[in-house]
This record gives sequence, structure tokens and C-alpha cells, in this order.
Amino acid sequence: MVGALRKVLKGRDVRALRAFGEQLEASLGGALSRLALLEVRRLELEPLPDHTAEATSSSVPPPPPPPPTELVVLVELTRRDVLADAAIDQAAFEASRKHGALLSPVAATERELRSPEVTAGAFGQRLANAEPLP
Amino acid sequence: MSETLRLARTLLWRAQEALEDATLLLEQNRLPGAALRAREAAVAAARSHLAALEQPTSEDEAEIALLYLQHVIGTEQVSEACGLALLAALRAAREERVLGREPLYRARVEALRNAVAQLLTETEIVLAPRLDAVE
Repeated sequence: MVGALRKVLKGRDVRALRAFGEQLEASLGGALSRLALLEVRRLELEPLPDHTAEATSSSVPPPPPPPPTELVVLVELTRRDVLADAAIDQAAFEASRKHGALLSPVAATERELRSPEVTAGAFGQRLANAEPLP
Repeated sequence: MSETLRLARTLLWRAQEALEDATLLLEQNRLPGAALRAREAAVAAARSHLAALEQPTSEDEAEIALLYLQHVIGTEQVSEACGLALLAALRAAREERVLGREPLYRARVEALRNAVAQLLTETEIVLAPRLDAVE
């Protein structure tokens, strides 16, 4: 069953999330525990080009691209270090540039996610409603 | 003289001041404060560049980031490292906001400060011909 967050994703959002996830899995390997979608937020901007959208040869003009989104993604790590942080920022940068949607990762270890500050706060509720990436 | 160029210059000053604060706070091992000021420096520098180009800007940091990626990084006015620095700064601040200070270990905040310093340096170099003429 598709969750409420994934229901509002457009094609560009899905491509951006998949590109982000694939690059992270390749670069983090065993340091990556889980990826989850936390928030989808529409931005008040003109649509940006998605350089990977499929081109068509039809004479019918394609529909206008949707406004861009911010995609907040949980990146759960087994350990946090400078290399992992650099890999996360690189993946977010490349996916955002290529697809015109902003990847906004929140990286955290399991220990950080279990802290009282997180579990008792608003972020804890968002974690409870997190959905797997498409 | 263009109001947007005056705005760009003001924002650049703000970025320079924020980076100086980040450096001082880092020296005092006040890591959350250093990360916060580094984020402010990065965002102000990005807004300055967009203003100097008379591109649309925003008060929303996510929108600023996307506009910066499109209009500044996308046109190769500065290196990709500047785009990376902006996104890294936004992520560090986001994580501190929701997770507390634990994600901000010293090596990370040092790397962040250095990356934002590069972003600011490149911005200053690129914008100097436009902004030097502003009275």
C-alpha cells in the first residue's frame, strides 16, 4: 500500500530519490542501514529542468513540469564519520542538480535516533510516519 | 546604482562576518554555534550571488539552494565545491535542529567551515568586478 508521502511524488521526485538512493548504496555500502522518506514539500519556484526526463518524439507538447519539491530523506547509518558525511552530501548534490528537486538528507545513527531528545520530540513523530523510498 | 547590487554587497558582508564568527566559535570548540554561523555564511553568500545576477531569490533556504544550483553552479560561475558546501551547511544545521549536538563532531564542523570559506572566496572573486563599482 502506497503511503501518503509517496502518493504525492511526481516522476521527477521518484527519479531524484532513486538516483540518491542508488548512489548512497554504492558509496556507503555496509555503513548504510536504511533510507526513508520523511517529508515532501512543494517549493514556490518556477519548474526547474529535469535533465533525465524522457524525451518524446510526439507532436503533442509535453505537459509543463511540476513545481520543484524538497525531499527530506532519513539516511540511517551504522556509523558516522567524515567519509560518510561527504558521501551523503555528494549524493544529495548530484541528484538535486540532475533532477531539479532538492534532496535534503537527515543522516543519523541508530543511537542518535533512540535518544530521548528525538523520541520525545516532533522529529520522533516524523520518524514513526517515515516511508520507504520508491 | 542597482539596488540588487547593493543588496548583493550587503549580503556578502553578512556572509564574511558570519564566517569570521564560525571560525572563532570553532576555535572555542563551540561546535553547534560554529555550524550555525557557517550555515548563515553559506546562505548569505548564495543569496548575494543570486542578487548580483539579478536572479530570483527567496527567504526559504531550500529554494535558495535550488536556485543557486541552477543559476550559479549550473552556469559554472563557481566550482561544484561551492554547491556542495551550501548543501552540507544546510544539512548540518538541519541535523542539529532535530537530533541535537551529537551529529556535529569536530572534524565535520572544521570541514564545513573550510568548505564555506572556499564558497565565500570564490563568490568574492566572481562578484568583485560587479560589486566594486557599487557606491
